[in-house]
Amino acid sequence: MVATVQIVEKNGAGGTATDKTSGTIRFKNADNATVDNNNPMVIPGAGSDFSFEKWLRLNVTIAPSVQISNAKFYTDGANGLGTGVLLWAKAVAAYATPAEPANSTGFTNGFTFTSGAPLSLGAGPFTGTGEKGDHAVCMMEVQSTATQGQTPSETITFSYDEI
Amino acid sequence: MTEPLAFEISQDEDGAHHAVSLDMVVTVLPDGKSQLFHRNAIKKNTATGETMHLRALVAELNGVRMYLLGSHIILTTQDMYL
Repeated sequence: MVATVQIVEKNGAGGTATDKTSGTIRFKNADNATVDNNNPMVIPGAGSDFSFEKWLRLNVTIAPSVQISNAKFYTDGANGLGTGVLLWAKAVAAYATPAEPANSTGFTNGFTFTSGAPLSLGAGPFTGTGEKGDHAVCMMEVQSTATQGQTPSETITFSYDEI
Repeated sequence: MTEPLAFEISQDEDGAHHAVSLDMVVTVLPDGKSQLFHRNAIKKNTATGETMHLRALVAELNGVRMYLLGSHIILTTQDMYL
């Protein structure tokens, strides 16, 4: 049987998972999965405003016949978020309550992770159901040069092999 | 989200791999290092929530890979992501 795999966003101390496979991921100045206009990111007069981290992970709801492996995360390699808006990413195995970092230390420019050089989320193999692989932890940075309003859309990709 | 066509993948005792769909069978004979698997990609628009699920069948024999994505067949030695 072909596996069914979700992308979930995890929030709070307990890591409550919300299925975001077909839902919007809203970067904001709060740790929740709600898509609303509360706690928006602001354009600073100087410096940067960093969002709370978004902890994203693959979640298998119908198990594969054998296994899933080679989990990856990547972008199209071109920042389409507009001037002064950056996306940072890293892979983390163990969940921690999403934080609002003061800087991008420990992260890598998310747009350097492409189909030719993806971020590894674990080789596996992974069997059965449940959350699998490392978390893709993403964070948005808004600099003083950004323009107001919602950013243009961007696409992120999760990849995995299956037999 | 549209679900792409999937193959049933199996392996014979002699090591031959088979991938069977409704109208196609792909077989990789055990003439060396070989494997057969699906490569999946969930492409997600973070702003609109629009999601596209791509799935390729990947057959590999001695470092040469065939990627079958819909009616498009690619032969390469690259480890390609969708």
